[in-house]
Amino acid sequence: MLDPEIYKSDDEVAWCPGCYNFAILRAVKQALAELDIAPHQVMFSSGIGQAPKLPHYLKCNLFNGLHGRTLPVATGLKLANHALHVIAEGGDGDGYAEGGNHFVHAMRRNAGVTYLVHDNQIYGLTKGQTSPTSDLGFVTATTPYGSYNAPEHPLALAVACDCSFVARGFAGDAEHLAGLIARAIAHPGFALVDILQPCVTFNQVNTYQWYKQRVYQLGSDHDPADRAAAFVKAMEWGDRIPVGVIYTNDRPPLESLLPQLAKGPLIDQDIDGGAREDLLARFR
Amino acid sequence: MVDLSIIVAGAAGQGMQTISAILAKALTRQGYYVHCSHDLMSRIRGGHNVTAVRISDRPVGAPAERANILVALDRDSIDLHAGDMVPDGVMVFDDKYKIQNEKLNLFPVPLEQLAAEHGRDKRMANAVACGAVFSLMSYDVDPLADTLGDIFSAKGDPVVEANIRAARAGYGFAEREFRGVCPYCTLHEQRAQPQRLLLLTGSEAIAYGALVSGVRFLSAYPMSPATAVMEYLAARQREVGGLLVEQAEDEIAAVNMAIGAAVAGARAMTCTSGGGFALMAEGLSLAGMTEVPLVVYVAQRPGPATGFPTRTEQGDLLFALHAGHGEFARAILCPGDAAEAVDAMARAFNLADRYQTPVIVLGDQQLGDCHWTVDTLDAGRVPIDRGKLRDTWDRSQGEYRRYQLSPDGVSPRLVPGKTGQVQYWDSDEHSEEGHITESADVRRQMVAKRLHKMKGLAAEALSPAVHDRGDDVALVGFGSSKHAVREAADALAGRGVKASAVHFAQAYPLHPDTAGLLGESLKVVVVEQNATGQFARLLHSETGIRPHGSILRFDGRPLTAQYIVDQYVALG
Repeated sequence: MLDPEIYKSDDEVAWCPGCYNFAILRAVKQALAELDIAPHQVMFSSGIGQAPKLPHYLKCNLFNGLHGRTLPVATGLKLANHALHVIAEGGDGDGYAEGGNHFVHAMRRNAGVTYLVHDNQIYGLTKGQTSPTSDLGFVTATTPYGSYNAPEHPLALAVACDCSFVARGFAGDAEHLAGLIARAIAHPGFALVDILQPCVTFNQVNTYQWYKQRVYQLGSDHDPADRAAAFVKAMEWGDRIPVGVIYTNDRPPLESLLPQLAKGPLIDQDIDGGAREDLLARFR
Repeated sequence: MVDLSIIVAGAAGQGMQTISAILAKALTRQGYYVHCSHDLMSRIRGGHNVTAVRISDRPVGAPAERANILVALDRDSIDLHAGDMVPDGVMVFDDKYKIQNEKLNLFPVPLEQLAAEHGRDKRMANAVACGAVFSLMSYDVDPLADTLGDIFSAKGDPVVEANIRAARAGYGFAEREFRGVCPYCTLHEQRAQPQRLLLLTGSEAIAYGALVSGVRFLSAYPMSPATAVMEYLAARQREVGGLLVEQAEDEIAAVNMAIGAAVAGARAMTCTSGGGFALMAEGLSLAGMTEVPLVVYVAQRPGPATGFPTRTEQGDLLFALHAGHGEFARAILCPGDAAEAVDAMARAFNLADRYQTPVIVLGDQQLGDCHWTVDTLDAGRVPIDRGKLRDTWDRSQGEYRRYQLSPDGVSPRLVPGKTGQVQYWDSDEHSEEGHITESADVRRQMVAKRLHKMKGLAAEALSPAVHDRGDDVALVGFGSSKHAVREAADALAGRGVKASAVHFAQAYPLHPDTAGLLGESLKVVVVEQNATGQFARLLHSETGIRPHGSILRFDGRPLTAQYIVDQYVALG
């Protein structure tokens, strides 16, 4: 195991004091250290929000792109160099609203990308608007009469899309979360970790106490290979909210289906000169 | 001089594109230059398709206004296209139609009957027609049979043999019935020395150009007329090795995937048409801000919105120039034919790598879908130059900074994961390290850094190609109008107008000498395929030159020399 201190970044942190992003940052460092991944061997793709700032506060490679576009960038990174550990990071607005279409198709595609979603059921960076995971009736500046839209259940959507690794963590339990993130990174295909995260500034409903009273860890009686059981757990929301690995399958990662990548990363290969001549001959 | 146009018309499914492809390839192998355009002159909705094959003993790159030979595969085609013929033109049609036309030479052939007898399928009427046309031009049938063999080889021997039997039957029938009667029967005597010419579509040229430039990754969402580029590369990704094509869920994903692959160090591109490019505008801006070498091929078609999906226009020039929020450096290349398309891709990848900024290759349906004959494609003519990309880092230079300030505005770029160094790319305004900043000083430095690249891009912009026929007027065009404008300049000489054709294969930035070059002309007339004179406006804003007139076409149909000449005369 590496020393988590090697991931320390010099960048000044711009989160609210007491933000649970600090706990997620600790968990990410611990997971990387546990897996012996050096800073230069991992590349993050992040979007826009409070969550996507996290890799700036890590020593790592980062492409901090646009709101909602973390997953296509991550897919391009992974396919061009599958020797890199590629981690996409964003919030519920970034991933489930703006990037909703990419989320669905990234799960279908199953490239070896780890996806960490800080899910605080609110927009933090833009100071408190409703999110796709906000509960019905949730009052914000843009929904002063309460949200009319049914909340998205990202884990149920993931199970429906046959996502090859589906987990939920809680930022209030960084140790447990670190274990989930490490498992997600080690998983060969696309791995989702939805992270329940109290927003101390803008969400006065789904507080630490609110989550703490509801969250429970899935036990050995839950079989993540059982898709129907996974659906049930993915839909469970309200008085009790499960955390842990909800669903896994053994779908081969996209990279393993591409013979072009068998010899090594795409960036290390050359176009075959003989093939080039042959292509020219076909125009004659 | 040989200059002959054959149009093949019929109902969708009768194989007009197959006939034109066979004729184009067979005649290219005879040493002729061929230009083959599809859907030309299609005048009724649904079902009716036309392709035109123009044949010459010198390079040709635009359709002709009138056809010498019409191959009419159905009754509608006879009525619709008889008026598109030169006087004494030749019409080949199925003899089951009883036609009278005193202006044309009629050659009724039992197309379907011979197809059924010899190919055992009346759909092979198209092969019968190919044979008849070859006979009318007094060519040998064997090279035609060889071409059929090559074109149908993937479909297996029975299909190849049936098509060859059908073509030989058509050839034999025409030889017996019409020997020496056709006005084009002496054409073979004027045949150029057979050379090893190449025949390819503009889309194939774009894709081949990308391939020989070392493209590793293409992500795209299918959209006509750009899809053929994606399909060419997709079909060959396993045989060439080291190339990956991914169909994205939308154009937003497509451009972002290409950005991700480029950041990882792969030469990466996407391709689309105007509507898809609109969705990519956000990603283009992202590439400008994060300094990602991104190549986008935009195949224009008439808009707005869905427009004419299968027709041609140059209506997205100013959109390509301004697409994306904020201000950042870019270049726009606009090849005029297949050979220029290969060069454009090589240049685009080099410029993108060297300036770490997006480069747009702007084509259109006419460039992409047409077949073009080229003398040769020298893949190594533009050597690959990856600019400041490195996979090693000298630690004595300190810690690597992605956006290190430098005199040319271009920072060192490292392949992530290879050097032990880490790198931060950021869409926010950022420090040299790539972290988010709110500093006014840093903002000024970074804006200047990114825009400084325009100086280098302008210094090595392509100069316009001048087809010098005198200085009464300069007919100025960009992109796929190249050959039609040249031909118009030649035709105007016959009317006593000394017109030069000036072709821009790069629309932005313009070559610094443009003002000097065109300022000397007495009169500048811009020829372009849009309704608002976009290139004329670009020319004016960049050089101060105010064109004396514009010749515009925006009906979705390709430019012809005749159209340009007629419009020029009408300008007065």
